[in-house]
Amino acid sequence: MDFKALWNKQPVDATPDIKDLVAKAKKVKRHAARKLIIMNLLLLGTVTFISYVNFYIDNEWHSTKIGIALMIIGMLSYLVVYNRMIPLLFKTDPNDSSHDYLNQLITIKRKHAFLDTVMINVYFAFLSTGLALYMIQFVTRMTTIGGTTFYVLIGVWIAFAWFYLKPREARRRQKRIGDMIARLEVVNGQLKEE
Amino acid sequence: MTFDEIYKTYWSKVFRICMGYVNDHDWAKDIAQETFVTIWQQLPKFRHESAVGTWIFRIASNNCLRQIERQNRMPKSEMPEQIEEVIEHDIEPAVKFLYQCIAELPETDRLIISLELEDIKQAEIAKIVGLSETNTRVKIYRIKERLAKKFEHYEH
Repeated sequence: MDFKALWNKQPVDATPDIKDLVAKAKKVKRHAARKLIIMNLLLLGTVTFISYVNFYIDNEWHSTKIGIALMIIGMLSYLVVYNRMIPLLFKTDPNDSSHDYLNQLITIKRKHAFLDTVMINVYFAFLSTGLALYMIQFVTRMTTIGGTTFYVLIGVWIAFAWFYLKPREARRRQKRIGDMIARLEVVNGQLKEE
Repeated sequence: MTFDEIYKTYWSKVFRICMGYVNDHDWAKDIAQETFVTIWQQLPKFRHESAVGTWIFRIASNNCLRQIERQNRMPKSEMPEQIEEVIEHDIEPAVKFLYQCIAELPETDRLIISLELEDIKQAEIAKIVGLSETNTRVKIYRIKERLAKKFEHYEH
């Protein structure tokens, strides 16, 4: 059986227009960059806003200052880990063999998983603690009932996000990433030397 | 070699390799296009450390492997029959059968045999996938044997 002859009989569509291809290349690059830029702008914008507020509002209480610092630390640490993935995402080395390439994909997915689990918890813990401390100064100016209601409402919202929203989203993403890592490892296993 | 020349020379080869991997015309065309997008981006950095062909096939192979990330799409051989490709290309049944058999192989075997059928030297294939030459030779031999067996049943 001449497999090569059969192989070459596969009809091939006419080569697509080169201009379309170049346009597509630019679009792909823009799309990948957009998500990163939005994430950075959003978090850095918030950090700037909080710092600005801190500067202009009269904060005589240490709890307020510590609260603000904690929130900023939370956001910046998430951003630092997030941005460390950028070179990985854009560095597709065409000199990598399939084996190295698969290893690279697995590393990226593992980092994603880390960002989704550990880093999101760190971010959330810093943000909630920071917010709770920040509020103390303002709540003391309210009536007892007002202040308590305020803290209960904030507490309920944080608990809702922490115990319901976050685990639900995390489970969904972890399953997807976990399945993908497993799949990539199976394929990489096919390249073991016998 | 300019990008235009590469594009004209390698389009059909790259397309067939992608086709061997996914056995789906439109999908293969997408991967082939993505491959040339990468080539277009990386060509200025290409340092002739390897033959341009090996470099191109390496990008194509890695782009095929990247399809694992798109879990919602599956190789055509795994799809139920009723959603077969709507636009039927006029393909000889034996050719169709060959591509179908290849698409049923494990992922890396699909790449290895596609590269072999594209007449790429076994030493180059070994470099592309990251295996030793001996191992690659053994693998190619086994895959061909497997395909021959399937064709025996097909012909009778």
